[in-house]
Amino acid sequence: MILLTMLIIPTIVALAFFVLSGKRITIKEFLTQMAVQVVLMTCIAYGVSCQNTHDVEILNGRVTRKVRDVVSCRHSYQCNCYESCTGSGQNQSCTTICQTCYEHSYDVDWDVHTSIGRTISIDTIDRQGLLQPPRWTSVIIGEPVSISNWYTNYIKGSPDSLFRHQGLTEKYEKSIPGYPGNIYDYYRLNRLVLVGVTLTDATHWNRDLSELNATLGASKQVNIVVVAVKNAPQDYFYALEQSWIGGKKNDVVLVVSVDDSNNIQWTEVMAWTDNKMLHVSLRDQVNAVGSLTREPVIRALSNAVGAFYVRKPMKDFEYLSGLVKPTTGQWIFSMIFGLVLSVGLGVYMVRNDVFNEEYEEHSWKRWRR
Amino acid sequence: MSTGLKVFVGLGVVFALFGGGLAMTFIGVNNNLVGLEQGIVAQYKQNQNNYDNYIKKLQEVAQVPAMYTEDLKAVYTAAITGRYGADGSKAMFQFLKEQNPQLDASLYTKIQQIIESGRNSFEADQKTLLDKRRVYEIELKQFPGNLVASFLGFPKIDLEKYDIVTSQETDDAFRTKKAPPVQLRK
Repeated sequence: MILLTMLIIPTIVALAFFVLSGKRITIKEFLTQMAVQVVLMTCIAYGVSCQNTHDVEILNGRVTRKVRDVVSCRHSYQCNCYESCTGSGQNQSCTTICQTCYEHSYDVDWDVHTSIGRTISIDTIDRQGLLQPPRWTSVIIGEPVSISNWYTNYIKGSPDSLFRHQGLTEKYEKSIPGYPGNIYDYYRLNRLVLVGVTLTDATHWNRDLSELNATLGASKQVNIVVVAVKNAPQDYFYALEQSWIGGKKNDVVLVVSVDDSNNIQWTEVMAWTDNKMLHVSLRDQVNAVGSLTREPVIRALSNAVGAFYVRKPMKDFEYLSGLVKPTTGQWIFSMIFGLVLSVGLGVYMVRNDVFNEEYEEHSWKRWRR
Repeated sequence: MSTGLKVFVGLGVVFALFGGGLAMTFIGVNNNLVGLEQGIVAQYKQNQNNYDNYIKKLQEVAQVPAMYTEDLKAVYTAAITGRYGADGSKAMFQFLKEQNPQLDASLYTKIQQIIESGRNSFEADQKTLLDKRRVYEIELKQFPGNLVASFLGFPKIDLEKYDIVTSQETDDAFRTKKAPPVQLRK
C-alpha cells in the first residue's frame, strides 16, 4: 500500500507526458518510464522500511586463531593497450582495448578468526602486505572480541508500540548517555557507562566486562552493559529505557544509581528476555553488594545472566511490521523524488527517441499516406 | 497514435499496474489480518499458560518454608533433648554459648523473587496481548485497509474475549475514577 501511494504522483506525471507529448513519446517509451519508476520507487519504499527498522547489536566471542593468508592481488591496472578500429573514412570508429595487469603475483591478508564466525582483517603496513603488522602480532588467541551485527528491530520502527515509553527523556536530556556501541581497535568495546560517577578502576571494569561477555557470548548470545549514574531518581531508568528503546535485542543493561560514596541507591535491569527472574535476581544480588564494587558486581552479573538469561528473538515482535510506516520527512522525500524522477524521465523521453521508433512511425505514416 | 488512443492505452497500463497492486494489497491485508488474529489467540493462551505456571510454581515453592520449619523444629527439639534430656536443663546456673539451627531467610527471599518475577512476566505477556490487539485494531480501522478488511469479513474473532486480566480493585478504581492511597498497615 505504501508503494502504491508513492507511485501515484509519478504515474500521473508519466501519463500526462505520454498523452500531451503528441508523437514524441511512444507506447514503448511510456512503458519503459513506468517500469523504471516502479523499480526505483520500490527501492525507495524498501529503503525507507529498512531505515526505520535498521539496528545494530553487539556480538561477543573470542579470538580462535590468527592467520597469514595469501590471496589474489587487489591492485590492478590497465596494460598492453592498443587501438582497434572498424570501418573506414568518416565511418571509422576506434576503441582502445587494454588488458588487466596486477602489481603483484599475490597479496597477503593478516586475518583474525573469531568464535563468532567472522574474520577480522588487520590493515597491512605495506602495499602487498608482506610485512607483518604489529597489530596482528599483538593479537592474543583467546582474547575477547566484539563485532557489530545488523538486525531488523521492529520495536524501533513502531514508535507507538506499548513497549516504547513516551515523554521521559526530556527530564533527563543532559544526563542520558549515548549507547556504548563504538567498537575501536578492530574488536574492542567499552561497556561501562559512567554518568557523573568516578571509578578509579574503570579500565578494569571494562576489561572484566569484556571477559564476561566473551565467556557468555557464545552460549547466551548476550551483551552485558553497566550504567552507573550519580544520585538519580528511579524514573531515570525509564528515561534511559525510552532513549535506548529498551536496549538492543541481546542486551542486559545493569543500571545502578549511587551516592557520593558510590553506595548503591537503587538498581534496575533492562533486557528483553522473557525470564523476568533475571531482572529480580540480578537486582537483589547487586543491591546486596551495597556499593559499586567491581568483583562482586561482575560475579552477580555472571551468576544471574548465566542462570536466567534467554535471548528473546525479534520474531516475537514481527506483528509490529505492518505498522512500520514512513515518517513525514520520508514521505516528503519520496514524493519529491517521485516527482523529479517522473518529470526527468518524461523530458528525456520527449527529447530522445530511445527505441528509434518515432522515425519509423513517422516514415511508416508517410509511406501510408 | 491519436491522443484518444494514447489516453486509452495509458489508462489501461495504469489500471493494470494499480489493479495488480490492489490484488497484492488484498492478499497482503488478508494474510496480515489472519496472522494478527492468530497471534492474539496464541498470546491469550500463552498468558493463561504463564499465569498457571506462575501460580503452581508459587504454591509449590510456598510449601518449602513450612516443610523447612517443621524439619527445623524436629532438629531443634532433638538437639535440645539430646543436650539437656527430655525434661530440659536442671542446672541452677549455666555458662555456655549455644549453637542452635538458624531459620534460613533466603527461602522467603526466593518466594518474593518468584512472586515479583512471575508478576512482571505476566505483565509483559499482558502488554504483548494489548500491543497485538492495538496493531490488529489499527489495521482493521486504518484507510484503505479497513475497506479490504470489511470486504473480507474481518474481524473473524471476538476481540472482547481476548482481553487482559485485572483485579476488582483496578476495575473499581477505573469505574469510580477514584484510587485510594495504598495502606501498608491496617
